[in-house]
Amino acid sequence: MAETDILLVEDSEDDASFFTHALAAAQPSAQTTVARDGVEALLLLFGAENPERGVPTICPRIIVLDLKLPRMNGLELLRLLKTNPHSRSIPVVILSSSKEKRDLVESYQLGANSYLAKPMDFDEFAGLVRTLGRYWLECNLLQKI
Amino acid sequence: MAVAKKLKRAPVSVNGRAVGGDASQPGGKAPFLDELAAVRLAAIVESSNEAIISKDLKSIITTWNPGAEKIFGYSADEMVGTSVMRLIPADRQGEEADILSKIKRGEKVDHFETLRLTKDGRLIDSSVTASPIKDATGRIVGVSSIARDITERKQAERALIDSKERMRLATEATRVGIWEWNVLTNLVTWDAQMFEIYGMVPTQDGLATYITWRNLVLPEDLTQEEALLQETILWGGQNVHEFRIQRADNQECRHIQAVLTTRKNATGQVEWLVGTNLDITERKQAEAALRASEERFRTMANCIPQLAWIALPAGDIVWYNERWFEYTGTTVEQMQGWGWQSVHDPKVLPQVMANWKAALETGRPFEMEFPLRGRDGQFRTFLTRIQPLKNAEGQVLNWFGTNTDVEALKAAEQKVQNLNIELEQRVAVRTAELKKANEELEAFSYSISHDLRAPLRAMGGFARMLESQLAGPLTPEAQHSLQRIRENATKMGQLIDGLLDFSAMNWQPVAKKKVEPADLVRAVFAEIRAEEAQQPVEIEIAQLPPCEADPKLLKQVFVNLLSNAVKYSRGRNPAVIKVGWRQEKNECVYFVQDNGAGFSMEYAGKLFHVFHRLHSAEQFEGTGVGLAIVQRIVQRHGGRIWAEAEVGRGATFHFTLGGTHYG
Repeated sequence: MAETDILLVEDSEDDASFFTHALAAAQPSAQTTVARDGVEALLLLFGAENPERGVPTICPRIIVLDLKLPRMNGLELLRLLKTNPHSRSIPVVILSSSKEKRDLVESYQLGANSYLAKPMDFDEFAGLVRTLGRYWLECNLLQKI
Repeated sequence: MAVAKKLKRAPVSVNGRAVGGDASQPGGKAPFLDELAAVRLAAIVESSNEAIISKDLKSIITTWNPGAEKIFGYSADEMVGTSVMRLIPADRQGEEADILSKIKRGEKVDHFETLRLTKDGRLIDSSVTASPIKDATGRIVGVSSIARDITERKQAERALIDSKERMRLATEATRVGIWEWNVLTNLVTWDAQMFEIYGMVPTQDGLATYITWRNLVLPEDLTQEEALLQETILWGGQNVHEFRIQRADNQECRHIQAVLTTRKNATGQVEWLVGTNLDITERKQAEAALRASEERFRTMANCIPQLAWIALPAGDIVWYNERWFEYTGTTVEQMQGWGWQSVHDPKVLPQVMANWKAALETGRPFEMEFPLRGRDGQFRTFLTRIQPLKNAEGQVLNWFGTNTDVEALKAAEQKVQNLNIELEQRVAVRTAELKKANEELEAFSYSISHDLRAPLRAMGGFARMLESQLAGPLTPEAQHSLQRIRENATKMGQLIDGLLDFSAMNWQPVAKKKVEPADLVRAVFAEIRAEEAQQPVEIEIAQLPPCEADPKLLKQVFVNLLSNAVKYSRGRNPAVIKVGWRQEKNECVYFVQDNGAGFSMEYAGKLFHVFHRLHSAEQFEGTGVGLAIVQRIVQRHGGRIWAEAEVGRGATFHFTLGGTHYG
């Protein structure tokens, strides 16, 4: 797996395609890798390593994480990433349809760096993705692992 | 013999006759016989126990016999030739002159009872008889005086008087009347008390008659009385009995207690019937009253549904009511003393005994529930209350106890308890079910919020992408269609959001606290104006009283009502919104009024239904959940909401919050 800027964990093919579509318009150079669920994301990150203690084999600049995922949901993945000292410093942005307070609270408690609700309107959604990309990949200084 | 000698010296006559002289031969013609008589007389005088004294008319003693010496203590030598006055007490000296004047008239003084002085200064009761002494010519020359010491007789007499007086006082004090009936003479005497008892005026001599008495005895009692009298006369002995009389003065019926006894004469014959009468009417009445009172108590004690009993101060139960025997099936004999223990449950008895003994020691009432065995052998629970009856000194005279059958009550209590437990269990089950349903609902809502939105976003997204990619060749109609797809997707997203909000109202907890609604209204209005500032809106907010509510939920109520008011007043210039309140019965009614589009009251009933709208989305945008949410919040506070409106003339929404408000 080549170097990637963004690891998008998203089970909805449509949302994933909207995301990459919108991001490509603003950040044409940004590399986005999509994982369909938590298990796939762990495989991509740690390969055969133990995700609880192992060193990630790839190091995305940010991870964008949906919460409602098959097999392993977003919060479980978040917990693993934030408890493993080697992956702890990778920023995780939650991008979910849920505006439920408990999702919000739990995400931040587990160490999410940001929580964004997916807007229903496509234009708003595209705008949000562009802002996200600009902020995390351009404005925000990231620590290289 | 001094006296004899003196007699020889001066022959005297006694009682006016020559002593020893023959009455048929006055003048004394037979000297020998005179001499013999004188000797005999001298012997009598000498041996007499009485004082035989002679004196002259000047009271100078001329003779003094040994009897006189014995009575007065003076010898003849001391007294002869001296005045008799030394024997007479100072306050009685006048008596001598009286005696002498009688003697001088030739009269006798017979048995004159007086007091005389002895040599050793004692006063003695004396009976004095004095006669003139005449000489041969019949001239009175002196006095012969015989004095008798009657001290003992006087004492006996006084003792008798005393004893009679005591008797009188005693009968007066005890009100006992005494009667005597001499069977031989048929004389009946009553004492004053007897007359008093029979309501009669006493006769002078205390004499009464058998007939008088017989007439006053009640005829019903007379036969028995007369038989008793006959029997006593015949057989003697003593008896005590009662009969009734009718008083002579006021015809009042009185109860008499009589004692009857006999006295026999020397020959052993019953000569006297002696009896006492005592009026015991008051005692009888008191006894009757007591009996009546006891009878009433017993009647009452037997009428009450409780078992009842009376115990002595030491705890022995001496009386039970009929109910006790009916229930326990025991007998009076079995229940004597501490026999009650046999109907107690042996397991509970020690506790009963401990409580009962504690009550006996302290004299305090006690209350306890314990089982008693019925005649069927089954135990039933009784509530027992025991009260002490105390005298003025606080000593317990009796204990009164009742046992109330509380078995049915206990069973009912148990049943209620069981029902409560059952109810609690059912409530717990229902609560668990509800909790599960709520959890399912929550999960459902969660699922909707994620899963239902994703396809909508995809629809909108792809339509948008299609629109931008294929802009050129698209006809305006096709472009419009694509836009409609996106708008509807957005609209459905809003509906889903509304539905989620509404469903959240059903399970979100209501956290009430004191809220100032006026502050809330001001804040909400400011927010709404910030979003839609160009519309001219005037608002009047009254001084709303504080209330108990969940501030977040109440805020939502005002957000929805005020947004509606602003929305439906669009086009009014200016739109006027009033937020006010009024007191209605015991409730505070808040209201939000606008001068907007209003609605027909025909549809007022559907106003609060979810997704139900009275206006088209073209006229006024909206999802139809706002008022449904408001109603749900109000209901969850225990309040009500209703609306009044007229088409084109605005609408007013009224609501209450139930419970406490600070008027």
